[in-house]
Amino acid sequence: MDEHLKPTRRHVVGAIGALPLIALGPTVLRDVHPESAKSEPAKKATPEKFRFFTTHEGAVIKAACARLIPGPDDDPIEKLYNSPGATEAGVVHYIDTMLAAFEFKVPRIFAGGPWSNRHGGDENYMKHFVPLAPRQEWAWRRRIAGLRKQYRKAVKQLDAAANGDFSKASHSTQDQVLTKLGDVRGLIFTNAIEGMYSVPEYGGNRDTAGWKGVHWPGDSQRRGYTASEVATSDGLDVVVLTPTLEAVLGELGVVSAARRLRRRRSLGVNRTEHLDA
Amino acid sequence: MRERAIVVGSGAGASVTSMVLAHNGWDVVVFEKGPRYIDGWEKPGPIKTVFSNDELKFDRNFDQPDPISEPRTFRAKKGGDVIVGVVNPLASVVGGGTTHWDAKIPRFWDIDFSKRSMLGPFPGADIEDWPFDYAEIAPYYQRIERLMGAQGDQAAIPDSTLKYAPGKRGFVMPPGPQQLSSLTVAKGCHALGLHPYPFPMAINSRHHLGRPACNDCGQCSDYGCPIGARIGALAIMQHAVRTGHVTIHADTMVDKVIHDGKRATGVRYVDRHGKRHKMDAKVVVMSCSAIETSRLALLSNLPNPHDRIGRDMMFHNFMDGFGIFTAERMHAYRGRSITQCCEDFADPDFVGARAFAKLNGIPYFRGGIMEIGGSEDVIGEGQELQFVLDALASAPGVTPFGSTFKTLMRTSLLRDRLAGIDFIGEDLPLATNRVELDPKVKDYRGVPVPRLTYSQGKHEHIASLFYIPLITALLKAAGADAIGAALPESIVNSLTGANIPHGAHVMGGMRMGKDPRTSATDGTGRVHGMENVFVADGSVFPSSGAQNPTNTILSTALRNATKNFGHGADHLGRDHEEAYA
Repeated sequence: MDEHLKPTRRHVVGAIGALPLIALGPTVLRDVHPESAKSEPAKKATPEKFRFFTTHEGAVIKAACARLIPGPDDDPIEKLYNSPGATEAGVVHYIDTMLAAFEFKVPRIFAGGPWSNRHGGDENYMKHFVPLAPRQEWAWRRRIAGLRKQYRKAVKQLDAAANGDFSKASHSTQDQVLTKLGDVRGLIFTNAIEGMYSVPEYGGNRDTAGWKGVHWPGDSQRRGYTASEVATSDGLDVVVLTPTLEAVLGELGVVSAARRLRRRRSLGVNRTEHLDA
Repeated sequence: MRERAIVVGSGAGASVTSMVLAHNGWDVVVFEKGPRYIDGWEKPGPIKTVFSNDELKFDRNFDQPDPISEPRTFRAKKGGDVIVGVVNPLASVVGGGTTHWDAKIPRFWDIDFSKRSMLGPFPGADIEDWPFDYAEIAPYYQRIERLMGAQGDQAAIPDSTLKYAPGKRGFVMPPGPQQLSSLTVAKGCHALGLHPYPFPMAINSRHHLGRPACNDCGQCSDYGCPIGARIGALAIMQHAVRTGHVTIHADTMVDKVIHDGKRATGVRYVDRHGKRHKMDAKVVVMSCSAIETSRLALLSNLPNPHDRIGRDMMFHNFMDGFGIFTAERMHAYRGRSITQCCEDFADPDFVGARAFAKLNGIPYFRGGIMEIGGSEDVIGEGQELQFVLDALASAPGVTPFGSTFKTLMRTSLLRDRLAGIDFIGEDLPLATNRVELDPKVKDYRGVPVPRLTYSQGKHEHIASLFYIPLITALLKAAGADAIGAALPESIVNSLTGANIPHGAHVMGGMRMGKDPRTSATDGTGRVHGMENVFVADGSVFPSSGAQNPTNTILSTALRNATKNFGHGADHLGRDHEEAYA
């Protein structure tokens, strides 16, 4: 980017840039819900059941998701914030459910409406998936067939790069492999983000773990927001600009491009590499 | 005995035209390519819908054509690389794009309708006057605003807007709660001497005709409304259906207008099982939205002696402004997807604009309306961050995932702390920007898909250069701690790989005009050379305006349908809403 196009920035705390990411200040801690820590006992010795993945494939994708979106057991910073990650949110089951979408009576592609029972709804209508129109079924059968192949291949690539079972490799090996295999990372990360933050009816975001700590209350019907919640500030909530945050703000051209792709619906399921599959 | 009219599409233009046809003695058959997701809108009262606060569902093309089964193709110029995939689709469901819009309904200005007379020609662009001026369309605007159930504040509309678009709006209710993010950016506008005001929109701010007030659930733009506070053009289609003479067929695509070169005798359509059928009609109206109407006209081999069909496509010159607040959160996820607008930059005489035009060797330029205070939702933020971290991956010490990603999500610089600007600049009509049938790619039904050839011209480039520093300045004045205004197209394109237009403002291709050598339809949207084939959507626009187009699509369709089919619907939208409750 040309130097003169770089955005202007006011450094909130001048010298703070040298601090590590962990110095993010108390405001982030504040909104971590205590109940999210209780996801620990859910871990059982029995192997997890999958619809599409083999046990090994499921373990590999789960391990990759845990590195991409770590929880308290995966990363010391996340432990500090007690912030649930992909494992706690069951993200691998989101991906598995998506890949097995057509094994359900009504394909698990479009959750129903008009609301869940999380915010005052009389019933959880989102549980009742919407039958596909022919044009949708045609597209989604092809998309999922392509994704299935990509995931089978991705597991092989991850194992090969880890010189064995990726799921049993050390965190640092797993990180190195994911850093190196950009295409594999792109595939899994895109879906992991969906599984982390989508409504729980799609199989991920268990107990709305993904929405905890990110100031996203999720679906809000029937309640909605009051006029005061819409119009007034929640108060001072200062973020300290760390080097990583600085780096992102320094690349608003890239941010703008990302946003443009989003607006064009060219991120996520509509990415062209999925279309080629 | 009623004669049959066929309307292709069920969105903005289709709803108005169906209403006028049905009230003038026609039997109307509406064909909608997509599914039906809302029930109960046919009369006043609550609706039933499967729309919901579900970001993933809409990412998965719940209401839009899927790029696998129904792609489009794009190239920046003749002979350029062709991209197959998502090319600015609109929702295709019963109700069309107005089911998932955020229902913003500003008016175009007098200089849009009388562009050539009032602003003059522009080298290389097809600048023409519309077949009517602002004074003629104004009463139709007012009726449409009432029919849609508009919220707004007449007293708050600034003189800088009324100067170009005078008169009383058809607001039937006051503006709803104003979002913190919009109010914050509005402060920056005021500081620069600009004139923001509550965005006119077709959303209930109070209980209206049996449907509830909006409860500001926040998942608004690009989502269908779960409670029926915003039903878009279905509020108008209601008046068509209640005559008892309108039938709507969902999941059914018309792929040909059958004609003899002068008169249409009906259409051919593909049903949900892929079978083709024919239906006779005395009138055919194409209301498929601009790209699809041009496609249907080309698929049908409608007369096109001067090669005008599909030309002069316009999409608006969109730019994003980023206002990022490090001291407080803007929570733009609450409320109706941007509640303030600011139109000062649509003025060709904005201070300094004429001089900058002269300096750059062009006669004039315009920016456009700004939607102020918008942001993203959570999956969008995550996937944008994924893209950004990939781009930063080569920087020392940056792991493009893991706690880095989660820290960014918690901090939410790009969503919860963002109060953005959506700049909607005028896009001048260029004959080289056009829709044709793709010679190779077909949709899943076997029908050739539209191929768009499009590049912005000098007007848009100069307007962007001029307004980028002003957007930056006003965000700074709003108190944003870290600011990145929009970057010129050239930079963004180098990062995204292609300049595929986005933003769902799709206009041109079947432009109205007196002269068949420079237009595809006449002064009422009738296809030149055809006695009974009409167009009623944004494709008839001779210019793009510098505001959200739907109010003008609706009002133009009402004006044209009234001229073509009679005055039987003139009582609708004239009186206060209770008169027809």
